[in-house]
Amino acid sequence: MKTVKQLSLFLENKFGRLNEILEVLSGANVSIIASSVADTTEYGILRLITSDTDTVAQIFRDANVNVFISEVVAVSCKADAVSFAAQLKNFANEGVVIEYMYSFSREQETVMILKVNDIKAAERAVEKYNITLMSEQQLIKL
Amino acid sequence: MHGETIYYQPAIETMSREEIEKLQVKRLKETITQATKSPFYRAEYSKIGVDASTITSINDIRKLPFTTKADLRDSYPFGLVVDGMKDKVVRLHSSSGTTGHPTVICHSQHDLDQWAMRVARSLYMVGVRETDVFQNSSGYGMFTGGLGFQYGAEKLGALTVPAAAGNTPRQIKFIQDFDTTVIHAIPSYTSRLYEGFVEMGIDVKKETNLKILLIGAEPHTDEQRKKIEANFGAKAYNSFGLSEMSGPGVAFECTYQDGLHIWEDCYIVEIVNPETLEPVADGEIGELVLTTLDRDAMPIIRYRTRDLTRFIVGDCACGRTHRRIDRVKGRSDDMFIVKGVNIFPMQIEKVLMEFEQIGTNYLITIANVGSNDEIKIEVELNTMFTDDYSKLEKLGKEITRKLRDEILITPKVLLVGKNSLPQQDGKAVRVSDLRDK
Ligand SMILES: [Zn+2]
Repeated sequence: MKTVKQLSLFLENKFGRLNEILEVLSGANVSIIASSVADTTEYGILRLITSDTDTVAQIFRDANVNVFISEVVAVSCKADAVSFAAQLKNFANEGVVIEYMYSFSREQETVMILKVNDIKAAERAVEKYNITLMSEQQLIKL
Repeated sequence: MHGETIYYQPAIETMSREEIEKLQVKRLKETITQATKSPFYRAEYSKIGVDASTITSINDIRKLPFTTKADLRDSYPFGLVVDGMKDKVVRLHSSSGTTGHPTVICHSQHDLDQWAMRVARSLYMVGVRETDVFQNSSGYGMFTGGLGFQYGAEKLGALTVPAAAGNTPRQIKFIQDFDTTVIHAIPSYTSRLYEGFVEMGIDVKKETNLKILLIGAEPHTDEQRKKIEANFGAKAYNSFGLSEMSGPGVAFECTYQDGLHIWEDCYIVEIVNPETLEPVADGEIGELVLTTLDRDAMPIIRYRTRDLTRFIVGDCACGRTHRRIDRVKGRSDDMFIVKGVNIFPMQIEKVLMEFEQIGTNYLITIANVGSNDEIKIEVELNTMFTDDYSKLEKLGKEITRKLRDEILITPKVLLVGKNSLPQQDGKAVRVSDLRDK
């Protein structure tokens, strides 16, 4: 199954920290395809899909930023609310738990980035319901 | 085995507790008599009316006042030197002070001989013999690790190589050319030395005869020691000393590596609560207080070392009866009190080191929150081992729980990113007290 590599960065909850972290990338020729920030009162996690995961991970490591790489699933569907909900239901039908998700839209298309608890079950859902997955290469071209 | 014994001075090293205390009382009375001939102790002791007759048992030492580093500074340079001994002083060691005067310790030939004897006894304890080649890769000059080990190793009869500190390629050449078997260096230098071997493509385990490393003068953990041992394929022993108590040879690990035997024929050892100055229970952490028992020129009585340690309870398998102290991990100046509880950073450090997900860097902040004191502990996340919040939160809770068990107060634990706290270089401030004074 097609999966996409996601970078998770530990983010201290202080003013300007997000800018500080992203500035680290200013010299690198990479693009950010999707991002999301989740936070608690104490710290946050910045999640990124980039055009070159390994390079970006190394840049952050060199800058002493805590990095974690994981596999997520990028699902493409129509941007209307009905399609959006239907896709999520397809996964639920196969017993897949979505730990978190974020999405972005481009014209009539939405890309959902899903962190699933069970990649095998997700694969079953993809086959059964003919779900369109995106690879990193495809995401870059968007 | 006949002929060879594991002890350098069997009668002294295996004395019964009763014999040790009897000897200590006798020597303490002599020391008081001698010390009272110095301007400092004469003034101090006449003020409160104590002299040698004050002492009838070892516990009577508590009737004497403490001596502090400030006392040594204020008496700079010769206020603690015994009248009439100034001409007998053959060497002084001075330690630099960051503020005001440095401290000076004066030694007669007798003092130096006793010091060398203690170092020789310590070296023998870890297996150094006259057949060994002892390379002293420590600073010489005023730093007591240089001359202290030099004369001790000579007294033992080892071939000494006074290489002094630095110049790693030259150190390595000496080690190879002279078949060095024992090396003394500060812990951080052993790492540099090891890197030197790697860079030069020399397998230190196969291509040298190194079997013993002596490390001290710099605080280090048991984990660091194990790493040094693994790198060199040699045993590493912890050495403890301070210039005020002559230098190295105050306490030393034996081959069982479970605490450092402190030579009680030469020192009276007390461990006290730094706040109340009362003795702590055996096994509890407190400030080490030492009294010299065999120094002629400049005896020092009840010296507050500021070093935090504890007695290791129980007998040592090596058969030596001189008590053992734990490796020194902090300074009493670092102690702080929250809600009436004494807390030492080393207690916190010990807990944090149990978690591999976090680094050893930490920052303690104490502040007033309402009418309460709150203690906040920031710890650096070592590896981003998850991107799951619940796992990060679980880690934070687990650290909090273990800290509470250790310090009896619930701290607020805050995970922070790698390298976001001030770097520790041994002198970094790890406790920040923001409470209204
Ligand atoms: Zn022992």
